[in-house]
Amino acid sequence: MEGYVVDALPIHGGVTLVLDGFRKLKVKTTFPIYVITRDPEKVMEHPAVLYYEKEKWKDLDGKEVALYRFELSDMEAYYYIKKRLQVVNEIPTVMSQTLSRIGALPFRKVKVEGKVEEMYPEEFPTISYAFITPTNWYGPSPEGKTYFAIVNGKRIQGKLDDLDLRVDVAECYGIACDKVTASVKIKSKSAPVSIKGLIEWSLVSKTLLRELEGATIGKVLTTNEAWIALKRKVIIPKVVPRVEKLRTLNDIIASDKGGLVVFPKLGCYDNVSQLDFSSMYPSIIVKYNISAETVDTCEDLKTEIGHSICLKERGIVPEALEWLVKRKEDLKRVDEERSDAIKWILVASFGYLGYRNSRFGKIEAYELVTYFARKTLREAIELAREHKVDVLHGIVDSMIVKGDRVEDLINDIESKTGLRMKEEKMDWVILFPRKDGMPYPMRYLGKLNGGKMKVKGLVRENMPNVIKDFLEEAVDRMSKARNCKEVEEIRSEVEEIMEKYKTRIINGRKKQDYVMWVKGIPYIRGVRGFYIAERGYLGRDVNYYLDFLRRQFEVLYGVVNGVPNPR
Amino acid sequence: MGRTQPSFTTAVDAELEKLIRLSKRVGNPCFQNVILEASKRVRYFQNSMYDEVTDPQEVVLLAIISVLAEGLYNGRLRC
Repeated sequence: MEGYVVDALPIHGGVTLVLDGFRKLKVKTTFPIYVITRDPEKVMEHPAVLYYEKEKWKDLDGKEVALYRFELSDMEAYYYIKKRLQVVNEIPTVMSQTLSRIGALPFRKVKVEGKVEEMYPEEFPTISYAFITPTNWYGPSPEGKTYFAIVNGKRIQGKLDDLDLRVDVAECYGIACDKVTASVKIKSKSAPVSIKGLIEWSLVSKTLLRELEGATIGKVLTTNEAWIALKRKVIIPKVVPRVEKLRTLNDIIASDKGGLVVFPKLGCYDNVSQLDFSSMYPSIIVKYNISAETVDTCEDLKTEIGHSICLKERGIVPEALEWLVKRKEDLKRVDEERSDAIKWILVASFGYLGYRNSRFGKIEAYELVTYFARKTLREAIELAREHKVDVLHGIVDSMIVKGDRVEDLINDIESKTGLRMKEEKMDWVILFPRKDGMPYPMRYLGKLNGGKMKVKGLVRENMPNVIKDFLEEAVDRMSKARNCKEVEEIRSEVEEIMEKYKTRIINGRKKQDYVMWVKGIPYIRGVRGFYIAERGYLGRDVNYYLDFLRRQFEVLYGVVNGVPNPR
Repeated sequence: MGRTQPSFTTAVDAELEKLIRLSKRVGNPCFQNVILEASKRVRYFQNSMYDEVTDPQEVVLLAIISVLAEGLYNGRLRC
């Protein structure tokens, strides 16, 4: 039998592999459990413990530890022992470790002829997958009568009663789950990625999709790091008691800062470039070997903020991230959705270094990353000055610049910082202010050279639908402008669009126009204040929506005619 | 930041608000203009002082000094 591993279920004496197309097969195996104990013979008394081996492992500080690996015939024994003894290496999960040993990792193609054989580990599985959510008049609702679905990348919608779907993997919500037959159903998700992205996470973390249900990015990231630790025979404890070194408040203020922010020079600018460091934070972690076990252990590399880095041994975090950075770049050419899923892991990788419960993190390591990031961006800004390139805005790992020698600048920055940069040329960009007219980071609208628009910080999730529609149409109209002068010239056309939306708000033909989603709850602004749309449509406060619309128009055109006065 | 710390930008804004309120109460239009001009450029001082250990008052004072210095240099410091 040949196919992709979609799921695996533990049974007595082995696992049942669920392959694509709802095919199942049993494979004999045992389940490992790592225990720190003085009396291994006592553990052997459990009938499900088959045998044990004593192994030499190291803890995160490099001290040698004697560890016993017991092989179990079923998972019940695993949970029984886990409750009673000091168990380590629980990440990667026992199922992941078991599947890894038999070479049948999730979503890998396997061929079973006597034994399981892994075939093409890197390709995306040719399985069927779908996202299904019931919908109501105001949008997604767990008890809606209609549905919206994306089946193998195709969007479909219809009446829920007519739905009968059979797929290998499904992400479904509410009553839509009853209408779907799937080997794995994901009913709760705290990940910011699609079902395809989740499959990619399952692939890279070698963890069953079922075990990622409800998991955060942290689990995927930690699992990736844990695989490196497991390979190196470094114990992964349940809790890492890491105490921060004693420092004065002034030391903390000096070292615990975020990335560098260069507030924007407000206004509209022609012919600019956006320069981004590719995966800056992960690249810094890899470049400077920043990991909990390499920071402040020896003084190979000293820094101004008082922390040092040991370069003698490769850190666990840099080793785990190096592979992910490469995979993200490779996938970018093949599949943007999968590349984005990896990007999320990389985004979390830095924050997780400073998270107190992180197994491979340390606050000092976290501070070093932001320190090097600030230093790198500051260096890039100084190089821009040398090249007579004007920096209009800069934030953490990105700059918006204007000048003639941008190509030379990029080459110079890359050779001096050792980090890769990517450039996006823009015909024009508008850098927006805050409500009170003060410069505000990451709020801009620009037209890329190819004609596509780049919008940041303008459209928010919690805006009413009608406002989102207005902004989309207005931005689409503005995309016709070739320069700032033309942006100003089409002001009257955008005003016309605004008038059209004013009429739409006053007429109130589409009640979903007034819905705004705040933390997953649909609200409408009524004359007596906000109410939840799930209670039914009870009218709207027209003036609230008209004000909202007018404010958005002012945001769009506020700075085009010169910089507004703050306050 | 690893730990929750108060926003530096908010602290700078609070200092500015205080000075704007004060300038209105004093009723000196020249002083009021200087403070308003300083508030327009305060962010650019924040940009350059990000890597230093500094406090919000210092940033606001430097912005005010820059307005005064520029006025003095151009000979426009008259009300």
